[in-house]
Amino acid sequence: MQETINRRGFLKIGATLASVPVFSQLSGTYSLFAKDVSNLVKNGEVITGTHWGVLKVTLKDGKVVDSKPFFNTSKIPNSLQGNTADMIYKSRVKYPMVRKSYLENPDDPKPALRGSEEFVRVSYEDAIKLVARELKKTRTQKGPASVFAGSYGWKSVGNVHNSRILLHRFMNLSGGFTGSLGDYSTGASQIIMPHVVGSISVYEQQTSWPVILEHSKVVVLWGVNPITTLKISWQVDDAQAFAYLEKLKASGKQLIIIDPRRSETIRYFDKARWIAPLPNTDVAMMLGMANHLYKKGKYDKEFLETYTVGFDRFSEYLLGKTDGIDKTTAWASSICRIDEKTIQELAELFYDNRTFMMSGWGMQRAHHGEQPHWMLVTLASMLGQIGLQGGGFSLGHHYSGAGVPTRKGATIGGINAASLGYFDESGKFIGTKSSGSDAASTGESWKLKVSASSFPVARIADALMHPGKTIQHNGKTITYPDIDFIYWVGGNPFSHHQNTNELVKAWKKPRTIVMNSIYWTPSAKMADIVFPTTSQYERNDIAMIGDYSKHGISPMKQLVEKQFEAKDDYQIFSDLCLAYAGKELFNAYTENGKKEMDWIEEYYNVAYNTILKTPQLVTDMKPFKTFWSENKPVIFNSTMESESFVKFKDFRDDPILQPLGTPSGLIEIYSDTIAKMNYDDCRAYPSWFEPIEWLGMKQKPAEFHMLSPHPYDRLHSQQNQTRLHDTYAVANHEPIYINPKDAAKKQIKNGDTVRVFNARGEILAGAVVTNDVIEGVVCIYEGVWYDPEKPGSIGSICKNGSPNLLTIDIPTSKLANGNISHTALVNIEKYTGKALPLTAFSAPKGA
Amino acid sequence: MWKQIAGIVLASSALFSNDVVYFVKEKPVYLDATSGKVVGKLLPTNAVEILSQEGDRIKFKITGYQNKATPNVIYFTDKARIFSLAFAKNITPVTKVLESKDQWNIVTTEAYTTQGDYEKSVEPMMERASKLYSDNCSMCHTLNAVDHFTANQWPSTFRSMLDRTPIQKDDVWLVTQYLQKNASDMKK
Repeated sequence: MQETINRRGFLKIGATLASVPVFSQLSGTYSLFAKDVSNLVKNGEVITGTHWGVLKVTLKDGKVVDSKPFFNTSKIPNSLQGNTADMIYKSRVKYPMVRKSYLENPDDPKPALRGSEEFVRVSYEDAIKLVARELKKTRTQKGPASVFAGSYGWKSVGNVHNSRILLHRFMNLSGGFTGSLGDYSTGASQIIMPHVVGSISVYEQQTSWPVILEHSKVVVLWGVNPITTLKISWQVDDAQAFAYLEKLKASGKQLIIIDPRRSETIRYFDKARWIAPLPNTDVAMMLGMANHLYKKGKYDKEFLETYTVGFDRFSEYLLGKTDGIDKTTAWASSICRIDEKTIQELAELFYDNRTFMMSGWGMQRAHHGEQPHWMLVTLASMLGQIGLQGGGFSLGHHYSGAGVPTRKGATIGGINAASLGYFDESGKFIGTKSSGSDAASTGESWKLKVSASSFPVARIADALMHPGKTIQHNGKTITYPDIDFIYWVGGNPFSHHQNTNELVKAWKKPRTIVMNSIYWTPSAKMADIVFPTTSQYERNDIAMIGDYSKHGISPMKQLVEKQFEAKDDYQIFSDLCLAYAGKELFNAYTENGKKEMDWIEEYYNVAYNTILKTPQLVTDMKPFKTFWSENKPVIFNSTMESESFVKFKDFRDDPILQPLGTPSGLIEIYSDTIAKMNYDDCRAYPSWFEPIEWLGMKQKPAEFHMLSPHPYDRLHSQQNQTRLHDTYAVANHEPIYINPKDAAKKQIKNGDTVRVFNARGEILAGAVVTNDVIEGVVCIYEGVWYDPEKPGSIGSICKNGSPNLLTIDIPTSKLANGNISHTALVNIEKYTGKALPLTAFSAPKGA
Repeated sequence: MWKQIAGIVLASSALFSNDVVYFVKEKPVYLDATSGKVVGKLLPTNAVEILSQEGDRIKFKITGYQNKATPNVIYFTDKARIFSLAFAKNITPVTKVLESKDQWNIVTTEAYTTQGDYEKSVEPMMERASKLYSDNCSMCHTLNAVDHFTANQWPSTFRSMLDRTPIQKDDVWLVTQYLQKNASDMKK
């Protein structure tokens, strides 16, 4: 039976593709991607770069056997660095795969069977032709906006094999696509902060660590867990930030850490004072502090007058003149459950001492997530220390080594998303500029057209379910496109998106879903066509070390042969170009046939030429060939200037000539821009809104507040399949952290399997009973590979324990439309049903 | 030698009085044809009228908006902080007021800058800026549409990202002005 279907499938594909004229040209690209493995190191050590740092990888008989950090700058461990072998050899997609019904009839592919139906192996050439043909069909029938290729995820580092950008490059050149706005990490903050401080703030260099270590008296870590999150960077991690955390610990400075759970960071800073408010109540706590300082007169009136606008209008709310509720410490205490005395004491401590407040992003991934950081900036404005050495606030010290001083060097180039391609009536690619008179002088007209259909990234399920629906977003109206084709690379939406069961439902709407995937992730299992893709260790590349520090440049030399039939994303999209519109499109995509090493050398030389042109830059940069054959990172030098960097200092020195990017040029505690939007869920000033679910609500739909923070032993869902799983899994499930009193109440013991559930879904997790979470709160790390007992079935229990089956898929507010993963109530009970063996890391049916 | 002469001939033939030109990068501004003291910056992509050539300097005229509270800056518009010509804090330029409304004067002013670095049409440099933006700012993240931010938000947003791109120093103001002039609140 299987045989017949296979043969029928192959036959059908062959027949329908005969009409694709470029069929014979496909093999023409193979010389570009030759499997030359003669120069791979079989036995020895190779240096490469990863999100979790520069690694020294040991090879034995052509296999990776070990990996260790290249930089040894601190004693703080990084568990992500030793699992390279598992990232190469475990859970791989081996061959091109197509879902059975899709292969039989792409025009009636039975999307409802997605996830449950078996896959059929096809040849790479046939998969390429199939995708090219169906993409063209979708664009012709439904328009480019019906192709969603926003794609989203942490992919791998590397400036050539940058999968998401390679996808965008292909989709731009071949005719356009719908993209997405913003991201899951900072959805709320990156929209509110430009209104408040004039730029996004979250992805910016921050006050340098040496300044904080020298000048701050009190350091507040508000909802931030750097011991976990500084293990990784968006580029190659520079491993410098941990050394500063060690110095902070040794400094003996007063540390206040505010978090509903005793995070890895609180356990590391064992002398720190742990303050544990109820989840999602930080704004109330901050308002209580502000109210206390105001009434005591302990706030910086001069700073507020010179550097901010709207404090007077905010203070009317603070004192209850607008709503009859004075936001006293008693009021705050009744919400956040921190006693009044502590709130007052902390507020005065911050005012009386040079205080630096670092915040993470967890509290803005909650309902009304725009408010906490706006309120934090308002509190910092009252303290008046913004722009002073060691004072003020930061929304970035926990991420990608912000605060590590920027070194004096040069930046390498990287693959880009190119421009929109144009085609003549016969379908021939004619270049990236329209010959028509409508080509705007700025070359931006196409981008505006495509961006009109772009929507906030976390609204994906809503958009799939409701084409044509309009939503409000930051003062604009967005109309969802009618998505019928999804192409995803370098990401895993079935791990990162909220309310997985709604996503399963939404995922059954489009006709076609294609993925390039290294592993059989839950998202790959929910696709129609899956290309087996190389991991970063099977290709050559180059990357910057240190997002903000510009620490240096890492070579990324290929370690092992391409596994099974895995292809580089670059090859897949180059071949798709050929199949889609022939040699002209292929040439535009590859810039006339550039190979991997051509790009690497070109990008290296972008930096090298800058260095050569700037004699005062002293570096150890060598010509490319030497750099590559030596296989050693380039390291740049630090400067006094960046060691002493203080964010907002230039603004404080001269608010007229160095204004912020807000309408007033000042910090906006009241925003006229937001006032004009007239949203009921985001006022013109920071304020307390009750979240849709929280422990203080009257009729709770479930008993416990679930937090799903960044995992300690993963990069989101990356590395879930590695050997680390055995070190943290409990009864082979993702751990759930439960307070002893709650566990006793539910008769749950350490090591028990726990059913965690609410109206949205159910999962199995393994109990860890611990005082590290407060009563009423449970914690399950995000980034778990969704593993339904009945694949493809809505409502199926997740055997691996992904918390996103229980989270809520509604936006933070109309302003930012960020996700609210930290706002969710759940129930727990001891699981007594039959054992459900884990299948998260194995291949689906037919593969 | 020949190259130098050819260069001078070319430069002077391009300098007919009252030519409107656009500079491609930030230029130093002087109060006269000889003094060595830089008193301000002329920003790229703004329409500048060339009045004369004096020695190795160009005398130019520019029209723009002057905020009565900050007379040392000539802006491109009265809607946002897009600099055309910025003098040092202690310099108040001599201006001719063409029109006055509320907080703003529309003014012309004259000053000097060095030779070169201009083009007769603004479109090609804007197109180059657009490409610099899309090529360099789609390396790490999805390219934001230029109208994702306002004209006031763009300078600090762009500057905070700049270190992570290989964009050269000479192009920073070109790209900044391009972004500001195509921002969400600058649409016609």
